[in-house]
Amino acid sequence: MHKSIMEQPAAFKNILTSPNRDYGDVSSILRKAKNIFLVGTGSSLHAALFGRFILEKYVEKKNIVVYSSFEFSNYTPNLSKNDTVIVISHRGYKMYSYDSLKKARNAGCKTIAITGISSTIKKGDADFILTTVEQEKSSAHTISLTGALAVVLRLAVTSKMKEAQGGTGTWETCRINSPGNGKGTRTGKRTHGSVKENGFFPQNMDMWWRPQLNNSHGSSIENAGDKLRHSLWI
Amino acid sequence: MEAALKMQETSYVTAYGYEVEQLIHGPVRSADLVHDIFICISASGNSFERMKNFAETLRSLNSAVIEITDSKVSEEKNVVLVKKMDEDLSPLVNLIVLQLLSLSVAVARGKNPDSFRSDDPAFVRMDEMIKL
Repeated sequence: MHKSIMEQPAAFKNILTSPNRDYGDVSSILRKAKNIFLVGTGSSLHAALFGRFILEKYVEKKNIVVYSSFEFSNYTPNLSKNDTVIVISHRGYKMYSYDSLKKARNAGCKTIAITGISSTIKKGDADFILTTVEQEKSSAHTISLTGALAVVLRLAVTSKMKEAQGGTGTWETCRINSPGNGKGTRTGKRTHGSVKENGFFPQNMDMWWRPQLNNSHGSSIENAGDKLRHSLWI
Repeated sequence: MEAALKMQETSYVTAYGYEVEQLIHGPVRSADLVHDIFICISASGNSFERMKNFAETLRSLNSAVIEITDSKVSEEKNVVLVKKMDEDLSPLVNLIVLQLLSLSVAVARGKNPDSFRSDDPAFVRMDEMIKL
């Protein structure tokens, strides 16, 4: 447990910065969704509660509801194909979490699983699978939870960036163009469209935390990034 | 709530997590103000004053209080000062403090924080009988 606690800052940073175009696609789904359901059990339910809080702040006005997996599975709310269901499960094998995904799929909802690496949730179980961290040895989950929080936060910020760019931007394309010298000189330019994979991530992470969007949303994203970075020792 | 869950999972103590107003409206009446420990988490924001007020009230009643806050307003003991940040992001920081506290409590009580009581035959039997 101690090892997992101490590995959290690095894992958090990794989840926020690893190349993954799914975040752009999923944030588009969130922005289009009529209702967003966040589902989980135990610490995953707590991640869902945090998720509602943070998504409500960053994603366009949405009806975001949190359910425990047991409740969602046994007392399933009215679902439509315009709804999106996000199931958070560290290991993926808990039957009510899996059943929640299944019920959402059967109702025609868009489904997103936030789960650990090597989870039992496989391709086809959900429209998108966003992974967090390797499975923890300790049953008292710490880094798994932080990983889920990082995924939710990245989704929220990506959605906000998309909104700021009129729905065309992604997490990656919102970044300031890296000068490639590793010193992180700010150019104030953003890269759009065809950005080479290796060019997405400036070597100087400081730049990444300051998207410098030229609109009213920029400051809140910048502040959030800065505060996270300072607080989590990234 | 997550901190209470972590305490339960690692130290096998009875722990509850409440938003301050929920606690005041009932559950606190079942507390032992002399022997129970209250961990008060107050981040700058809408709930800050209410939580601070509750923590001060508990201290005046000689209850044991551990406070996790981003704003030190007194010289009280048992205050963990964390970096000030937006209230909505504060769980990310408070969480780590509470995880470390849970771990420390488990070790102090001589419990294995990782075992989930898998060394107790009764709980092994429970795991066999109840599929998660």
